Amino acid sequence: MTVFLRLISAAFYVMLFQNLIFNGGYGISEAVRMSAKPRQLVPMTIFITYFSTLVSVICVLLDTIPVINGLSEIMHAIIFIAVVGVLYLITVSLVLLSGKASPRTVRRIGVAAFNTLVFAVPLINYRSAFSVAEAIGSGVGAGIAFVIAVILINSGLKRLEMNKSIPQSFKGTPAMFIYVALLSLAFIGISGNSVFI
Amino acid sequence: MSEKNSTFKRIRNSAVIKNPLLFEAIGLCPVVAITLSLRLAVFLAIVTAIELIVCEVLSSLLLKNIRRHWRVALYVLFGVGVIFPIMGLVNRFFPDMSINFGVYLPLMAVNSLVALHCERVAVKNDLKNSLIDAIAASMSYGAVAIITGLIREFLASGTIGGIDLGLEVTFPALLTPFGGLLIIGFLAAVFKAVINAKYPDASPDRAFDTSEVTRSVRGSLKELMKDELDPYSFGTETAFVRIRKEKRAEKNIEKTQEVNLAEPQKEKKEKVKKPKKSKKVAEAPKRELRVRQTEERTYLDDFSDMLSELEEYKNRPEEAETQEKDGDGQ
Repeated sequence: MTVFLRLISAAFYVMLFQNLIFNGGYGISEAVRMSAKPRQLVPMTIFITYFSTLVSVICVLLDTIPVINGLSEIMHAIIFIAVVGVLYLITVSLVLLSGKASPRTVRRIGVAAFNTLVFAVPLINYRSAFSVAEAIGSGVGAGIAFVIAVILINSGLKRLEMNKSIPQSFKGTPAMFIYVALLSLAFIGISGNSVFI
Repeated sequence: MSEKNSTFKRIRNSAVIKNPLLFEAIGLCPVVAITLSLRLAVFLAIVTAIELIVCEVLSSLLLKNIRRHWRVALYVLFGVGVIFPIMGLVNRFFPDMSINFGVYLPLMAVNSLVALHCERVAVKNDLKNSLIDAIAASMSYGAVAIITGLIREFLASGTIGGIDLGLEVTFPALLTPFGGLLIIGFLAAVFKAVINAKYPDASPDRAFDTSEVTRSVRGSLKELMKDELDPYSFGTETAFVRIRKEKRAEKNIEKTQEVNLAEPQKEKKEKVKKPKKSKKVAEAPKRELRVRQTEERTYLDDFSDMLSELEEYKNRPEEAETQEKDGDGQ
């Protein structure tokens, strides 16, 4: 029961209370660009959750080895990125061998594997000294945080696209950045941080 | 002269009209999170420039004949080769800066700016053009990062370059990602207004395609099942729906076959007596069409159609008999 609660609390931590995208800025480029193409959300979310969860768990398990645990933070970061790289190569090889994947799917795997969100998860786990259950929670939570971010940005983008009263200079990315900034402010409010001292 | 013009246009496109940060929304994470002061912003600009130039040069020289999915991993390898030695130097000589960077410095190894420019430019052009693109993109990215850092430091900490300006009111919220995004948004608006005034033909909006924004998020699941991860080639249907439809279609086909088998017998009988049967033969394709329609309709519609077909089927011999009687009468 305690293990389950730890998993859930870690997932909620990275989803809402310290949303990785809005509070930390991890993977914000991918979230913003994905929100302009919502039809790709489901496959991208599946791939990102797959990579973030697996990388998170593998890295925490590797960290239980005394030789690796005693290494510096730089060496840890190199090991984490090596894990992402190996997992990517294995996944791409399997997908290509299956013979069913379209080139677009293979491209998505590359974007999903090598982004700051996936790579940030094991680094945060390492700094927060998360257990295996918490690592699973943070990995899955990172994927859900990505979905929340994309859906919120997409719903705002739709309204911004339809709004004719926006000045010409603010149309497009300027208005979108300001909207995402306000979303970020809202999530900082949820986290309980004070923003105006 | 024309070569100079084309180089100028290339620089203008990479640096201004398609500014990676303001109009393409690429490489936002480090700028939003790290540029808390002018010093950090300058450092970020230098690191990004080194990484982008090295990666684009290496990609242009070595990766042209390698397939795309393997190249993506190699861009990250180049990024690691650039970022981690810098990370070691920063940890050793600037420990205070290392604390400010936190986890964001190693994250720059997977910077989307590098991967995108290597893939879009470096592997498709020669060394000179790749170098020009890398310098232009890194300069424009660095310029925006420095301006953002300057404004954030001034408004949030009341200092510029560490020199206290003695501001009584500061806005520490600008040190969060909210502040970074807000300043980038206003900078993008200013840049866009200048571009629109100076280059009316150039449209920075093209860099960020929003033509699909209004598409349904739920549609992506159908899309996924349709042509992406569809190991059993089921198309848009789930297995359950497909099997149910197949069974229903089989039943309908069996019935039509029974009807078709019954019809030729009638035709033979009628051929002897009356040469009017060509109309009945022409009805067969119509029946097939009706079966196809029922596949697409709901269960209740199918059921009512089946009932009406049964009634027709029961009534048909009577009609035939009456026709026969009429024929005899004539």
